[in-house]
Amino acid sequence: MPVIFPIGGGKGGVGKSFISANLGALMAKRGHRVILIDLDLGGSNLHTLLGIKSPASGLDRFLDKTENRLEQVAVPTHISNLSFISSLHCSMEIANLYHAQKIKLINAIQRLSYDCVLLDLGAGTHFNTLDFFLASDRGIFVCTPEPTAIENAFRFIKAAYLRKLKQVISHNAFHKIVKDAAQDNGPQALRYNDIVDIVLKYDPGMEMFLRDSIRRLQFKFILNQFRKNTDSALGEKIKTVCNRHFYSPFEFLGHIDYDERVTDSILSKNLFTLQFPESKTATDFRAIVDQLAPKRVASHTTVKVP
Amino acid sequence: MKTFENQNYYEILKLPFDADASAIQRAYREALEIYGENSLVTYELFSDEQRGDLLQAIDEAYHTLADESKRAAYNQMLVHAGLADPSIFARKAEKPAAAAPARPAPVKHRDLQAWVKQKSKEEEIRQLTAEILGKDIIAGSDLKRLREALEVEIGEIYEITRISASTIRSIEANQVNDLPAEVFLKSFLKSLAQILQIDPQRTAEGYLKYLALAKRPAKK
Repeated sequence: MPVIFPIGGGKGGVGKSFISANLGALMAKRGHRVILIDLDLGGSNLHTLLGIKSPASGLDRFLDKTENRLEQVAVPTHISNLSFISSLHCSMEIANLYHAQKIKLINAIQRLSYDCVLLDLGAGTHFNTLDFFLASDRGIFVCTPEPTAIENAFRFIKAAYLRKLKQVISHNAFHKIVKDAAQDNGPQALRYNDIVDIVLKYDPGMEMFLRDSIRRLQFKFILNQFRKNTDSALGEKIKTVCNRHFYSPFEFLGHIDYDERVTDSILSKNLFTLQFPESKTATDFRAIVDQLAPKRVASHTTVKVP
Repeated sequence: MKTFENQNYYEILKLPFDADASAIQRAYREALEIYGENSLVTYELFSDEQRGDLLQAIDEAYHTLADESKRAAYNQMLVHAGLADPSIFARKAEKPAAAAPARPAPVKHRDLQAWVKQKSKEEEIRQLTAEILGKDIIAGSDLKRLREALEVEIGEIYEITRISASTIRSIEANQVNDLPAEVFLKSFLKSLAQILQIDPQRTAEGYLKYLALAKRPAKK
């Protein structure tokens, strides 16, 4: 089983794809076998960041059953150990993936024979995006130190949290009243703070089970485009507040310094951290990789590569 | 979503039972900075209702713990309810004000507006504001007194208004010759008054009247 890192964050333009590509490259440099999957369906551009103009294969060939195994639609990148699955050639309607296709895709992702899988998610809180985010309990959300980005990040967290609550309830033996409440998507749809109350009232025996299940869902986050005049304690403060008010644990991975050369490296289709390894921004990335994938997994040489 | 329900005042402000006055003051500022309406940390995290409840709890906690007698009664209650150990009373009494440590350095990114709004509710500040507005002529020293009573640093005003620290000092010290042109001064005074939450229009008028008087003898 690979370690899966979904990378989401609600707002567009905060650097999800940029961060996915650079984290993937740095993990690969450390000897991990890494695969990047562009799941920004309908808004793919991870290939451009990786300097690939038109990927030879992609997710479409897995979804339309041309290929049976997800590995077969991966293409190599110019970085060794780093593979890539594009969604560029998926049809225009791909953003509304069928439920069965989504389940098939998530199952295939969870069985990929790589050390690390990075899922680059789209903006917004569409339930497909949330399900990809919840495909692993190591989801990372990216945000910038601006009210708009923070607002959307909180909306994204709440949406993911609520979806997780509903999943836990529908897959387990909860009281009928609780289950009915969880399935109600109408205008009276419950908010994340009500559901624990309902469980307490009708199903007190399940309360601890519910809390434990939500506790297993971890949220990690990165503050991107960090500038000098930003409150340097902002990330730690957000972490503390979230840990205080959500049942899921939050972890702050670190800032990524704003560097105006990032635009240039995207224009020249180079990966910033490889082009400017001495920059503060690249150092910030390495500190985050230290936490996510510290060193090459010792046992991995013995893993059979089919 | 977890609230402060079932948390005692010490837990709400994240303070140990033996916290001293300056630690309580600091914890309150930090809490306002995080839960205040304009805080970036919790922007849109809570509904208005949730935020109101949280701020009210923080306020109650602060006003109880900051008051020695209310705090003693509250501690008594905690011990009676079995929520705290009797050792809670072992805390040394506060030293007299003269020996108290210097005021803590201002928290740089606190929510100044929320802070001033809270402080303005205090009787002492209300009286001072009313006294200043009651005057026809308002001097820089009045504004300085109000600012200091609100525990606001010049640097913090600069952070928000971008009026330079030296200009603010000149205004406060009535240094007529160092002041900017009247059209700028008027707008600076209004911004300054907004921060101190005192009627901007009347503050600007009162101060300009003061200047007119101050300049007269110089002309002779």
